[in-house]
Amino acid sequence: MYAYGSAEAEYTEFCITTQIPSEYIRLALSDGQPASFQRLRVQCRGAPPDLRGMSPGLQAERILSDPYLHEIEIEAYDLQDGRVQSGWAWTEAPGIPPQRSMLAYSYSDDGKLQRIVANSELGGTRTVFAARTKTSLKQLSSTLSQRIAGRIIEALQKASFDSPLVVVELPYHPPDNYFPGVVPCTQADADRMADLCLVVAVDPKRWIELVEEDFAPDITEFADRIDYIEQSQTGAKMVRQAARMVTEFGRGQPWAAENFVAFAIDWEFEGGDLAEILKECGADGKTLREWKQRGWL
Amino acid sequence: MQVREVGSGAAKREAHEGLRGTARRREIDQVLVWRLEFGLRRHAIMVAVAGWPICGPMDITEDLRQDLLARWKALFDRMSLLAEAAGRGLRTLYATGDRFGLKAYTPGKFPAGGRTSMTRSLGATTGCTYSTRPDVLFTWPCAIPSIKSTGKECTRTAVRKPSIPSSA
Repeated sequence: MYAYGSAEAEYTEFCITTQIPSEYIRLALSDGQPASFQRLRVQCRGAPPDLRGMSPGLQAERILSDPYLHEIEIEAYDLQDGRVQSGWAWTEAPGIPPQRSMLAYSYSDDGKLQRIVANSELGGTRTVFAARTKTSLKQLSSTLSQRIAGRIIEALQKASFDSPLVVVELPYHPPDNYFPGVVPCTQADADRMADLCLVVAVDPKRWIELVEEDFAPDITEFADRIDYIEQSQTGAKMVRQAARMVTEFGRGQPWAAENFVAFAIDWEFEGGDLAEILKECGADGKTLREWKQRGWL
Repeated sequence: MQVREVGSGAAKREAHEGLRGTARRREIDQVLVWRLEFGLRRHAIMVAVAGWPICGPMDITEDLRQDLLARWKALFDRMSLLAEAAGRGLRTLYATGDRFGLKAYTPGKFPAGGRTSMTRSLGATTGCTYSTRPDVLFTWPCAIPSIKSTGKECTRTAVRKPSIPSSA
């Protein structure tokens, strides 16, 4: 449901089955300019498990007390000369600590918004908006693949491993995030692994973390553009292209095993296509057969 | 520099504005606020010194958060009214849509197969998906009760978002 007033606009979405308001968004205006933004979203589109039979009050209490059942976004804007110059944001989302950020806005000479950067109180900077450039999506994807692959290779070369790397997983999470993590798996790890789900098999302390902001504003623009055209496959191609470059470079390197493969995957939606994904990321037939025999495929 | 100012929200606060300008020019490193009344709170938060706004004792984001929670909780009481209004709106949309020109919602009158601008816009706003099968009109995760109850052909066969169970 949409509701409009001179000083606010509201969006309300609810789940008919559970009778729970699944999403509520409010934009408050001051003299026609945005003053604040509020959003609350309930996980599972308003149908989280184990809430049946509860009173609405208890349901609300349960949803708000469980950080995995809701998301909250708050933004307050500072207007100067008729446009937002800075802002103040509060975020609560599953898996990350609640945090407050300062938003910095930058504009081009002709007044077009170019970039919004969130500086978190917990440390860290993230470009949350980047204006669309004239670069084609294909070119943007190609550039990002090369840059990400280059940085991964650099990180793998710098790291020290007790045995050569057999596989490197690049987990990513479309459509929210196309910037991959790096999970290296050595020969020693591989010998005791039952499957190729490295995010489970390898201790997170051994993951290699790249800094996403180093790839801004390109990565932000890329994600925004494919989100707009709803083509998450384009994002998948970009990450897998990066993985393929790492695979091709890694073969023959002292830190990589003979059949080394780097692959990018979102286990939630792509787990069933593992063999195809490995092939796309540069795994040859011999490697696939070998891994099938090991029970990894 | 020392700034002391008392005034209502409507009055122009010259001293306060001067302080903000000085802070923006980075001519001062820190601001010590020894008394912050309610009316000054929002402006004080927006004074940026060394990249960080001063946060008053009552943070504006916390106020907005509490306001959001109160509004969201109040929606539970408005659920039945909202559902009825949503159903009414959708029925009107179907009946008066330029694409179909139907006087009233009539099951089975939609063109079989193919996506239309009407169904795309409905999909975007309601999360439901238009089926290309002639025997299935719509599929949706959170059913639209008015249409569900009137259309015998309507069956729940798919969901748009994988996170929503198809049995919902």
